Amino acid sequence: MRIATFFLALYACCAAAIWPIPSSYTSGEAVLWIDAGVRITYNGANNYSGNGVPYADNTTTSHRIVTAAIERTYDTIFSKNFIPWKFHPRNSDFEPHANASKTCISSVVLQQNDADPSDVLKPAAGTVHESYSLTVSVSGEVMISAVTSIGLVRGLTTFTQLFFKHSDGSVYTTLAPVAIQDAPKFQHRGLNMDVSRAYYPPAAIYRTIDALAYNKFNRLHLHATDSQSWTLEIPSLPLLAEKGAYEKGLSYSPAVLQQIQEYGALQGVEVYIEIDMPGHTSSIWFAYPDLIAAFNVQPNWDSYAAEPPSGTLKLNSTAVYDFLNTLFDDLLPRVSQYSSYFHTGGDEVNVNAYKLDNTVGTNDTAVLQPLIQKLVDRNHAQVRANGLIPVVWEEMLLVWNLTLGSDVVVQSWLSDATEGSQGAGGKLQLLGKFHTYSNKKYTNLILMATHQYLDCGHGQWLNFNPGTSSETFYPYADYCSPRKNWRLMYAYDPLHGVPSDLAHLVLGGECSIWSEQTDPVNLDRNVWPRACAAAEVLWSGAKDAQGQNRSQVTAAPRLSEMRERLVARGVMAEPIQMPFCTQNGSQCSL
Amino acid sequence: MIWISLLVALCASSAQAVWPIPSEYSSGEGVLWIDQSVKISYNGAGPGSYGSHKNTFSSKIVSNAIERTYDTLFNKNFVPWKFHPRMTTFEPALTSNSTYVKSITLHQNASDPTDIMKPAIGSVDESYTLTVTSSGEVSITAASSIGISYGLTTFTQLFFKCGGGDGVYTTLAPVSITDSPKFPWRGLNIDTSRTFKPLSDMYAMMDAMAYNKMNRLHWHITDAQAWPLEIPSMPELADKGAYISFQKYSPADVQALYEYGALLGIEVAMEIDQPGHTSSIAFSHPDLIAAFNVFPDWGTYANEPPSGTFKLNSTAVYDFLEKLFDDLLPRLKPLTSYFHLGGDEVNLNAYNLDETVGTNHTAILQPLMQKFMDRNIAQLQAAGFTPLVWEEMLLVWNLTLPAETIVQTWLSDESVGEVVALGHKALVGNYNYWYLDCGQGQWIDFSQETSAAAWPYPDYCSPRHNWRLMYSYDPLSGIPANSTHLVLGGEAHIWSEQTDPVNLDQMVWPRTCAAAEVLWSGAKDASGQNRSQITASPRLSEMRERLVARGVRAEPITMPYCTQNGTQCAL
Repeated sequence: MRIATFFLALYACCAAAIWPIPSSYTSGEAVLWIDAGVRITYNGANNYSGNGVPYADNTTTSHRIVTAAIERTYDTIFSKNFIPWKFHPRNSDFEPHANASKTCISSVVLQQNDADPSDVLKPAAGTVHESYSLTVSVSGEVMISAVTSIGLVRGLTTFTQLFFKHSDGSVYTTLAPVAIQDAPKFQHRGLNMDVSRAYYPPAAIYRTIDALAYNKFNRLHLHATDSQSWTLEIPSLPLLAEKGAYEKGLSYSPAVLQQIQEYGALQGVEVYIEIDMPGHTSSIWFAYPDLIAAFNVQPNWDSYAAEPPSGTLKLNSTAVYDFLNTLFDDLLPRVSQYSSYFHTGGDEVNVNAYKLDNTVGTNDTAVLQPLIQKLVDRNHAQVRANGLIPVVWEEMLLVWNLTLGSDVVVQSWLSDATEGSQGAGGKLQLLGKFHTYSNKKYTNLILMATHQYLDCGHGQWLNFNPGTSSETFYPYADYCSPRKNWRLMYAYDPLHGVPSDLAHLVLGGECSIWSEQTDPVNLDRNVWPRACAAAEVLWSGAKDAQGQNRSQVTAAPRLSEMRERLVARGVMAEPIQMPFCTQNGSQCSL
Repeated sequence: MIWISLLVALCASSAQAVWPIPSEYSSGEGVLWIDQSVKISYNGAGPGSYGSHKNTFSSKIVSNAIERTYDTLFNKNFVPWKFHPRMTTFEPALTSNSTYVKSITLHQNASDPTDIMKPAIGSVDESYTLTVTSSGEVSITAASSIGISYGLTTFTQLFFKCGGGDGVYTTLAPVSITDSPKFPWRGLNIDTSRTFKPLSDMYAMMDAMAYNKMNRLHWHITDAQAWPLEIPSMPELADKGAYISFQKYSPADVQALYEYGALLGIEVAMEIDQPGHTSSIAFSHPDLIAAFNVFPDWGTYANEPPSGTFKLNSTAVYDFLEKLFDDLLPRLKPLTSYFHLGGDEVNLNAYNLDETVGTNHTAILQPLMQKFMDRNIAQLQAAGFTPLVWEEMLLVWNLTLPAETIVQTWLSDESVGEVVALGHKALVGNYNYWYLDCGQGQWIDFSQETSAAAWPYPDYCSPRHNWRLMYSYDPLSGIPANSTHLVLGGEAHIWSEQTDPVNLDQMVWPRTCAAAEVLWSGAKDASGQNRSQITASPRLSEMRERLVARGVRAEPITMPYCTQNGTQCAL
């Protein structure tokens, strides 16, 4: 066996993508073929006594997870594979030639070494081990072993990335023997998806979950509601979606929401819900106008909100409390079946809106702060009572100085609309703010710099009046322009500046797709493959084994290959380079 | 009939996109329905009805337009819920008393020019008038078949689909439109070398262009990275220079694409860029190319890898070009009047490595460049083509060019003024506004040593040019009144370092619509003011929905909230 460094492997120019990169990975140059008759067996851990069992077994949760993964493995290898011509010199004869003595994969053995924890379908950070090991021998025996069924899922995902489609329709790898040991660097690896500003049909969400899992993400944060539309059907409050959705049919029923969560859970992608508040709630007004202050002030909406329509939940209203109680009583028991987290929002609270709130009538934070504390206390008590862990945006902690329970996860985003995200400011801010977080003795943190905001750079979606307004805003850059390219996202180290004794407080991170200018038509291209860069940072870490920043030179062809695999799955991921660059090793470099 | 200003109409929040905006446009609030049995009749540029006249290409243009009209109205239409307040009943009720469009009469009041399939600038009158009466009579009048085609395009944009799937209607009757283009050259430049675009994608692009009344496809078919163009007399060019065997355009493909365009009023101008941007020829003819793929120091010899340029004083190169053009030009000639000779980004240092020259001294290179260009232009002119070149040939190399040469500017607004000051015709397309590839970030990989300096990895023309910026670009800015006639129009450009068929639609649409309206309608409104984003934005959102309904994956420019609520998303 040749122990190849990534550098050598890539200069040797064979396609060798595994994305995200495993902790430890060696491969050879032997060819193995695989055909659809290959048998994948699963020992079922302690759930089944005996040796291998056929895969079509849904008797336990673990079996359901593994069964679904096995089905996806076949589908990926044989139906969603690609011919890697872009990764070999033009006009070269790069495909292995099948002959009578060709070696095929003879067996794939899935070995689970322990029983799944009871919360395997809704893990809290760290409760479900995702590590796995994978070996492929030159004679075609494949062994994947893991502590949990989700670890096996990750191992099978990696396994599929070793294979390529042949132009004659067969499937092969050129990398045998393979030995991989792999485990994630961070426990929370997520995408935050805004389904309020634009509605996404369930198919688009399933497709996104599928792509997330293929990159070993494990969280989908559904930003389910916002000022622009209310997408969640709440049976006890039916008017919310009937009046607050954009249009009939553009909402998620309880059954659909559950299907989405279950679809994710079986792939190890926990779908957790955010109801952002007290701001970002104007869409409630369409059903319950009395609950919202400062609704849709025009034309000077910008005094009351970051975007139109302005509006916020009234802050000292028993009607609001009753509403929230009813809402949570309806929603939380349902979502807690497939998630351990619930996000209560808390970003971009606009103090001026409370001047127009007849229960408060002031923008004085000394008056407002205790009321926000009371609101969040109420919310979090109910979240906990449903067995869920509260998540909040950073402003609740850092701007409003709330006292939060020690279980609360704080989601940072570290920049605001007026500040932008230019230059190194983000990094310095990260360092400074981290001390603020840690001084406050909070143990859980999801980092999300605007470097990871996938919506940036599309330009303004607001219209500017001719004259002064147009001149002022020319050339119409948006709040976080320019677009964050994958290299920038890849260069972002969540642990940069974090003292080593506090690094464990960083649970992970999320990238975000806000939907002012994203809808089902361009969702894929705005998310993929750039989110892959975040996926590798979060799974593999931003530093390589030598402690250096990971190299773009070795990452780029792997990412291009992951992009082709996503396209083969029906995800319209963008190219990051021309075929010239990937056909010719590392010639497109400086 | 109610004569309404656009501002009033849009504040009333009803969808009523016509994009690009016509020269004169009035509409009412009457409802008309249309069904598939409606007859479209055409006088065929004189006495007689559609199908019986003799000008076959003209009749093909009109019959094609009629087929597309039916297809657009009944198969590629959309429900405009995003343009009405949420949960409102905005659709008209279809009753037994509802009025239908009774007749559509196409009246061509002049004969098409003989070059209708390959029009020179100014030879085809693209203007039209369109009237729709409250009782359902539709009349489109134009001097040419292309004018008729544009009138039908506008006509389709008056109609919407019902949510139940039954019925297609307008709420805008009566309608009266008089329309003509501001600029005669309204183009999109598509790079099919850096990534290959299958014919189906090119057709889809042309379809969307025609729907925005664009009339030129600049086909940047070859470049340093790949040579996808099959040349029967030199098959090795594509056999060795294409990225892979199935990414080639055959002569039949090329003809099909030109023909597809001609029927839509889109003339294709093919570019073989040279003397730079030719490295892909080295895969088959290594002796013709100097400084091929210098590595790792490519940055000294080219703007992108692989470096390489035609040798500048080589009879072998001249022989090659003569053979290439002899093969290619006669095939293109029936369906185009234009051919683009390239000439951008010539790298002087590459000629240090050219053994036929051996220097980067412009005093030596300039006469060779003149001779090189003279040869190309002479062969083009002999074949009956009008040449296009990039601005560097005129403004950097100071070449003497025939008067009819069209000079394509891209580097600055000032370039346009300099070109017309020299008496040449100019195309605009400043890369700071109309390059659609900008803002994706670097595609070059930076090593761990160079990476820090390159952070945060913006590309050469970052940030992305949003539609508002593209829309605010006036091709005539700074041009003296007595020279504006020399500005023929312009082009948006989609270079393909990071664009391929998967994201092509989203990179091009709907931003290119902004350029299309500037080129068709002009950058100023009737009162001489810059056109308003406030009124353009909902129309553009509507055009975007129409493109999506056509299968073009155009991006949204705002949220439904903004279009559902008139002009509330404004500052």
